[in-house]
Amino acid sequence: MMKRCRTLFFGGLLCSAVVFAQNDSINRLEKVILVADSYVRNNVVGQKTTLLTSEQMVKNATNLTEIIRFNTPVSVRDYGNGGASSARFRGTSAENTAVMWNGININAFGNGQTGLNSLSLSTADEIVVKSGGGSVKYGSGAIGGSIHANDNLYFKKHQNLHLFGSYGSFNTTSNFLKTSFGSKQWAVKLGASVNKSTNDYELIDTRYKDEKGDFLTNNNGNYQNYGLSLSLGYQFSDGNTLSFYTTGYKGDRLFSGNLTQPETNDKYIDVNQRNLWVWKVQKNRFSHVLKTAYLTQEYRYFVDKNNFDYDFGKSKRWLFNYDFTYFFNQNSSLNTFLDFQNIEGKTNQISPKTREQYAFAIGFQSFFMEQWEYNIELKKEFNSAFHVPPVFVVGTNYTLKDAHEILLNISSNYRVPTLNELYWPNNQGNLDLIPEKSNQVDLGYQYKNNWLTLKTTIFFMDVMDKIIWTPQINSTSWKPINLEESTHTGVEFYSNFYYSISNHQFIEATTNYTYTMAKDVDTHKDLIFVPRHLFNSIVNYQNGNLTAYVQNLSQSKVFTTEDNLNHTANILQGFTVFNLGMGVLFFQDQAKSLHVELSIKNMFNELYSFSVLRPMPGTNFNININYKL
Amino acid sequence: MYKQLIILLVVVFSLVSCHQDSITLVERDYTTGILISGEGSGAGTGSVTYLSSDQSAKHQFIYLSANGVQLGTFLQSIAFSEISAYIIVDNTNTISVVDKSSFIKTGEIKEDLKTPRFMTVIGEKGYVTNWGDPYNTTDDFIAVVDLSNNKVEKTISVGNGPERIISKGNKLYVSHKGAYGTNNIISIIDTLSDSVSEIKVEDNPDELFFNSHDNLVVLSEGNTIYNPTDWSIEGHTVGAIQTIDVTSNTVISSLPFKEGEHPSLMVFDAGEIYYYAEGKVFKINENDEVLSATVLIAQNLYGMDVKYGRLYGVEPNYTAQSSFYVFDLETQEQTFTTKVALGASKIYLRD
Repeated sequence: MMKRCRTLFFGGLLCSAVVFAQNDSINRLEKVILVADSYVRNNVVGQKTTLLTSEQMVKNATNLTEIIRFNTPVSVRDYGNGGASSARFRGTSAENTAVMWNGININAFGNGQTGLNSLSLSTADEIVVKSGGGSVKYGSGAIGGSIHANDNLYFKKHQNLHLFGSYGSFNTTSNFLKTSFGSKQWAVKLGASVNKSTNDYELIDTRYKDEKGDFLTNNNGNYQNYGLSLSLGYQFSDGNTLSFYTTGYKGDRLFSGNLTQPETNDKYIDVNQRNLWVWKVQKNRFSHVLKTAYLTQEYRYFVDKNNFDYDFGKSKRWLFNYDFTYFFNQNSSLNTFLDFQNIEGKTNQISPKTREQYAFAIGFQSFFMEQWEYNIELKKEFNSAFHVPPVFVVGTNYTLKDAHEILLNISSNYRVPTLNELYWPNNQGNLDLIPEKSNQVDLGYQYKNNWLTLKTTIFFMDVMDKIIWTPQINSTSWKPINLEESTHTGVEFYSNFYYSISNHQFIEATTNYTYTMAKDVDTHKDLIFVPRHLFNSIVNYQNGNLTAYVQNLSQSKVFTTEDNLNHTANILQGFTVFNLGMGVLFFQDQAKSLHVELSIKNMFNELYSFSVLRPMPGTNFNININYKL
Repeated sequence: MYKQLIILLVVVFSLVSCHQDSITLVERDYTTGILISGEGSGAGTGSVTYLSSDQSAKHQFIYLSANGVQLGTFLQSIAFSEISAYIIVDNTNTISVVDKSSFIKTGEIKEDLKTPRFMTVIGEKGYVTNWGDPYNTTDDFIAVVDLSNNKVEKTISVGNGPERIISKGNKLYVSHKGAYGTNNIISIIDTLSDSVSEIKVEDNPDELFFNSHDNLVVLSEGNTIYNPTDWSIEGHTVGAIQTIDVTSNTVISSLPFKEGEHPSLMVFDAGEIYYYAEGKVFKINENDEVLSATVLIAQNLYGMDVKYGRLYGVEPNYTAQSSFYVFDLETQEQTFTTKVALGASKIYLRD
């Protein structure tokens, strides 16, 4: 078991550990593991990243919303359990969060967001959460931060199988299968996931009851989704690999109502398909990465689930990217990339629209001395629809002593207008929109030793020309306008503490705390739905074959109106929820293990919600089996 | 180091300590004064704001403070009987019945309504316009509610998109704004026989009232025609204030607006018609034969009313509290403003 927890521990450390590492050790590592988006894992300079391993993800296996909510510094707003859900870093918007799949930005062309409940990442090998802007590398939307899911390929002789199944209250079942095998030449990874729930939990607000005095139920919340993924890699020779990633997803959900309207009939279907080819050649001082990807997305929205009529939106995207790096020596490298994308989108009310964009970036990364690393990158995008400002990033890591490190990152970032914002029907789209822009500074301090990792970041960000849907004269129509400016100031704090009590016993605690002050520049009011304090933690304990964890999420009060009316009707109260799990490890031998765990979610039956009048489930249970072979 | 961590944990827990929000119920008398209904939005539900006649007292969320629970979204309109107020929330297909003075809930009309919009009361019966499915142009109806038991006793089928409803004697007059589409009729319903007849007016008729000659005056907004491929504006049909003789059911006068100008509000007070179009309020006499060219008040409004020489208006905000204004009609000056319900849309002046 020690090995498992060590892995977990080092997993947590990895993102800070790599910044100490020299390039050659990274290169050596990458010859065995092929990570499509190795940049976010290894080369981020001056910013805080949080790595989530599969071990952490299975504690919150229900959906990606829960994984992000309980394990990262990111605030997630949703419309009821399983409903539309989106991540917001540092008080920014859902459109200011970039979601990356193997290094490819997958935010929708239609609304510029990625719904966390219309994506299954349970078979991903890791999720890296990068706080702060990253538009140079990750393009539009990487203003507040980005969430990266990676499928890794291993070029060594191996054979792994990972099976996970869970079942619990409200017929909620979350399952996945992940298998990988390979040799020095070949690497194959297969993943499949099935998640289902009737999701008909009681809405435990004592003020809203039916005629009989019973709680109302979430009676239109049913969901089911299926995901399949395949990753293939072939290594021609050391440093010369060709890989292919493909994934498909279908989600079928009903959208539940709220306490004043429990009866709804809305239904939503998502179908996404993504393909990516990567050819990587690294020889002598040169590294070439050639990527091409083809992505499709479609949603169908049914006002009435019993009716065949629906609204839809569709998009397809081609992407070509050539990335070239020249290593002057072990410590310095010059990187440049060219990116071309062709995006086509339409809805039942918007005729097909095509957007083409080209981008060119150049960057330099080096060590001044052994303990001082820095990078400078510049990017310019040319877009067929509007002018995109050039963006830059300057980052540096300075190691004070072995265990202490100072980080600084200064960047500018952007978010381009979406299909809906430009072309919304009834003349409500606005073709005069320009991209949202941001400038930001991150100043960080990190510390690690054998049992403790600390990461803190002070951030300041200014987001300009924010696109806001605004009612027009007569209030019958709304139009998006580049209207607002906001400032975002705060602190992110991460700690991981590991203590081995004896040979068979250990305790590990991980916490995230985010203090965010997001203000509208004109009104000086707080931005809506932004909690001042956000805290989550997990404490894992193991004694021999017995495991236990306690997990918690706390969020302070949020305002729902822009004038910050402090009335119970227009705020969401702060809350603290606890989850508890206890398990038995039936065997563990090297990478093989069988773990069965019983979890109690929302132990104290806390009434809490992330949108107006939509309570989350009260106390509920689930049991899961986690089998690795 | 553990110690610091533990201290931090404690601090954070206390910062975000949890408490359920409970409302202290209050009983107030709202018999006189001004009620402003707000539609609500994603930021909060529909709500009602009370202002005393002299605007010295204001109470927000009066349904919530009387009942401890909130209304749904979107609060469309309120109708009044002798003793009750009927709060119509169209999205939830519900009419909440409250005591007219205290706003304490006394009942609910839930069954057999579908996208209810407006209601009028004749004796013991309530008549509610319903869009049905707003996309369906053939399922629209008037629900007849027995107010003694709050049950829909029957429905009367009408044309697409019935909106405002007023009564005179045993007859109902309904403007058909056309729901999500467009329409151009006034339905006249004889409540004794349930027979329906129609009068054609300009496109998208909305507000209507009887003038001092007992003629029906209707405000039609006119329609905007979009190109269905690129959603550019292809043209407009004209809006108009039209007067209908209800004995012969014929349009006897028609005052058209300029092409592209779409009026949206109209009220009648002491022989004068006050109407609102595109950010401006105008006034004409009920006997005038042309529209006015003189701007009375320039202000964006979504709801308005006029009484005792004052014009009351609301400018809605869907992400914050809305603005309520009082104008002195003599001086045309704004004399009072305050913040009211989210998405404020209707003003009800009580005696």
